This record gives sequence, C-alpha cells and structure tokens, in this order.
Amino acid sequence: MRGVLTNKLERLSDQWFSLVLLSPTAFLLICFALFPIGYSLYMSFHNVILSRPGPYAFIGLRNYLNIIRDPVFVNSLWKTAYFSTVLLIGSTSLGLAVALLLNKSFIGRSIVMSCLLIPWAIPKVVNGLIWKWIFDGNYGIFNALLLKLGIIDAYKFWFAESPVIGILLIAIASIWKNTPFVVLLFLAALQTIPRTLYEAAEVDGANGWQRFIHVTVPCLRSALTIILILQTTWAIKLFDLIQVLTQGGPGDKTMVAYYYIYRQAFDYLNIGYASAGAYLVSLLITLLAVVYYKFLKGSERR
Amino acid sequence: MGSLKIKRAVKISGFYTIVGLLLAWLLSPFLWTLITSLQPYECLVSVPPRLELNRLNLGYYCILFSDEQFLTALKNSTIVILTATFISILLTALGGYAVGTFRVRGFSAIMFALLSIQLVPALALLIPLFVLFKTLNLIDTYAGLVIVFLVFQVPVGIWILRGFFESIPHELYDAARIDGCSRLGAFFRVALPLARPGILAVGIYTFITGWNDLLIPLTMSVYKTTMLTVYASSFGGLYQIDYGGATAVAVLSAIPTILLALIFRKNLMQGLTAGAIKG
Repeated sequence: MRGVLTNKLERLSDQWFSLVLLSPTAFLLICFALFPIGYSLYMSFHNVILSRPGPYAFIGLRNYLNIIRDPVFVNSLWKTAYFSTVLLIGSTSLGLAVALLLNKSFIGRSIVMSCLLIPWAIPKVVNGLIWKWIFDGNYGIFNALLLKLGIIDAYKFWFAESPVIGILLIAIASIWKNTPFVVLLFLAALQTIPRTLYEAAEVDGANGWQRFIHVTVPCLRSALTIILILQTTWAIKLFDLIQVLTQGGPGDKTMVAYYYIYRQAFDYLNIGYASAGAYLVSLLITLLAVVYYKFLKGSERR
Repeated sequence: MGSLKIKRAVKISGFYTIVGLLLAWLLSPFLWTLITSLQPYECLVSVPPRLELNRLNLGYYCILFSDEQFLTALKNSTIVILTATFISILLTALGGYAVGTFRVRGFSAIMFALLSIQLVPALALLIPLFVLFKTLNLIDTYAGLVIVFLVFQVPVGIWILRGFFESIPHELYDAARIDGCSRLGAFFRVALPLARPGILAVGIYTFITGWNDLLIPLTMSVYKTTMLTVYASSFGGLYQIDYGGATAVAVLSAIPTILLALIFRKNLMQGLTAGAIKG
C-alpha cells in the first residue's frame, strides 16, 4: 500500500508533489481560517445577536457606524494607543540597552541569557497573577515600597486611581514580559554587523558615540521595523493581562479595545457588532504594519 | 600604573552592578511569587510584607492538587497541547519541505497567505470560529481545540522551517535522487535529519505558545475541556483574590514552559530570531 502511494507521488512533477505536501495545511486554513474570516465579514453586515433566534437582518454598515460612535469603544481606542506608546518606548529602549550590554562577552553572560528567557516563557496569565500580587491594594509589595520611600502616605488601589495610572502599571507588567524578546531580536541583528565597519569607523577617528550613531543604528533599521510591527500588534491585542488584572474595570477605567470586542462577542453574544470591531482592529494593525514597512523602505533608499 | 588598575576595577564593578540590576529586574517578580506561594497565610496578609523563610511549606500546592477542577485543567492542557504540537510538527515539516526545497509556482502567493494569516488578530478569527463550532458541535471538545491551535501554529511553523530547509544545499538532494531515493525518501533521509534543530525549535515554540494561550481555550471551551490558563485566570479579577492559590497556580503553570525554554535555549533562540529576521 505504502509502495503504491510513494510510486504515485513519485510520478508527480515537483510542482504537484509540493502541493500534495501542502494540501493538509491548505485544507485546514481554508476551512478554519479563510472561510471564517469571510463569514465574519458577512456577519458584520448583519444584526447577529446569538442570544436571539435568527434569521438576522441585513443592516449594511450600521454595525461599523455604531461602534465608531460608541463612546466606550472610542475611549478604549485611546487607552490602547496610550498603552501601545508606553510599551513601545519602554520595551524598545530597554531592549536596545540590554542588547548592547549583552553584545559584549563577559563572565556570566550565559546566565543572563538564560534568565532572559524566563519572562518570555511564562504564560501571560501568570504574568498577570504575578503583577496583580505586586500591585495589590491591600498587601502588595509595590505599595509597601512606595510607602517606605515616602512617595505615598497610605496604600492605594492603583487600578481604581485613574486610567492613566492603571494602564501605566499594566504597561509595566507588559514591558517586563516583552523586553526579553526585543533583546533577542536586537542581539541577532547586532551580531550580523561586520566588525570591519567598526574598525573602519575607528580609523576615520569616530568616537564610541559616533560609531553607535553612524554604524550601529543604521544596521539595526530592519530589526527595528520588525520589533515595531510585532510590539504594536501585541499591544493592540492586549487581552490576558486585562482579564487577570482588572477585567476592564473598575468602571471601564482600563477597558482597552481588544478586551471590549471580546466582551461584546462572548459576554453579550453581540456577534455582528463585535465582528465589525474586530475588522476595524485588523485594519488598524495592517495599516500600521504598512506604515512601518514604508518607513523602513524609505530610510533604506536614503 | 596603580591608578589604572583602580580605574579598571571601578569599571568592572560598575559593569557588574548593571548586570546585577538587570538580573534582579528579570528574576524578582517571579521569585517573589514563588516565595509567596510557599509562605504561611499570615505573611500574605501582613502590612508591611513579611518574610519567614523558616516557615515555608507546600500548603497551597496541596490544596491545588486536591482540587478536581485543577487536575482536570492540567490533564486537558497536557492532552490538547501535546496533540496539537505533534500534528503541527508533522504539517509544518511537510509544508516547510515543500516550499523550502522545490521551486513552486505561486510560491510568493503561498508565503503571503501564510504571513497574512499571522497578522490577523486571534479575536477576529475566534468570533466566527465560535459561531461555526457551535453549529458543528465542536465547542468544548478536544478536536475543536486542537483544530484552532493548529490554525494559529502551523503558518508560523512553516514560516520558520522554510528557512531551515532552504539552507540545505540542493546538491545533497540531487545526490540522494541519483542514489535512487524518492522525493519522500530524500525528505526522511536528507532533509529531516539536517533540519532537526529547526523542527525541534518549532516544536518547542509551538508547545510553549500553545500552553501559554488563554484566549483560545477561554472562547472554545465551556467546562469539560477547561485548560490550565483558564483555570489560573479564574484566580484573577478586580477585587480581593486568594493570593496563596493564585501564586501557587502561577508557579505550577509556568514551570513546564520555563524548563523547556531553559533546556532548549540554543535551539529556541536560533529558531525565533531566524523566523523573525527572515520575515
């Protein structure tokens, strides 16, 4: 039987042979990725609310118009933007600094490299539980630390303070988890820079800072683009931390866009509405990716 | 001469201070959680925080292991993620071999499709899949969960593995073919052994990201197939929570992935950065 199969495969051209190998994957992705994506576009034009019996009426763009006028959603987009900015600046700058540090060889470097993988490897849910305990309003060590330093005079429930503070703390938890991966990407890029470039710059009389600006930074452009794209996508898809830390509360103070869409879909079964929101978020991610990509291409030409 | 030596010593100690701070930043949150999970209850509810290292015990872990729900979640996670990882390795190895080795017409279209699927946020796919699975009766089943995990894991896997297969010199295949190997034979005898580090990296990566995922089991299972992350997240919430249980479940859920990451550090770093930089 097996012989017959291999014989049949053997008679195919390279083209068909590789398509046969790809066919299970293609089947999987067409049925469970491509079709659902199309189906959700269809649902976003219909008033699909699963808690009510169908059939659901065609309502055109009304889901889209409603969600962009929904004050909670608009607000949640601003919070997402704020979170993304803090995460992007924090993890990229910290990641670059650590990568430059680890690009040297020193005793104990491999220990640091191993420790770097710990925040990366733990589940995001666990990250949430860890920081929930640290930031806790009754017994958290963060409060104890600030009290000791004299910054506050009584323990605080930080997530209830204000969206600015609440989201900032969530961003700190996120930076802790995400920075190691950024470090790895920067490190990989740093190691591809040929040593001769630095030597040439040194011969030309460039000091350490000038070598960093004129040799290191240009060589990191493509890594930087990838990091920006990945980090932005992650930031927009902020979910696990919110679910564990605040569930969007109190009073929508930490409600970010992705979590709001989840709530609409799976708590209220407001599927059409949530699909429209999910489409808008996907569009946003694609748009940002294209912008970053253009930024890379543009700076390469220079 | 002496002052130079002192200058060097200052420089080195400064450097290691920074390294020490970095290690503290990387390790302390998890260590604090670990210590908390081993401390008696009075230490958790004390202001300021108390440390009684001579009274460490496994009390919260005992409570967890006698909790039926925890054991079910642990079992479900293990079954679903191991199955998904195994199938995923199979599909990605075949797919990676196909696109990485042969000149396929429509190559760029295939790669573009694989990349675009990765760009789609999970939620955009999970909402329609939820509706679809409701009609197919796949909600709260192992099969349903495995399918959804595969949809998210296989495109990334092929993307990473393609690079490994591409880097195998084509002369090796030609030699194998001349010796009478079929294309499938060349896959098993030439490509697979040479791409093993890549396949290992993809396998570990798939296991870790699957094990760590919350959104998929949260939306695709109800109670029969609850997975560990969903169980752990139930310790969260806005107000007062059981920190003994929360920290213990946090440590237990993180142990498998931390261990895997540390054991396969070299493979993982190679695989991760190769995929990202090629993309």
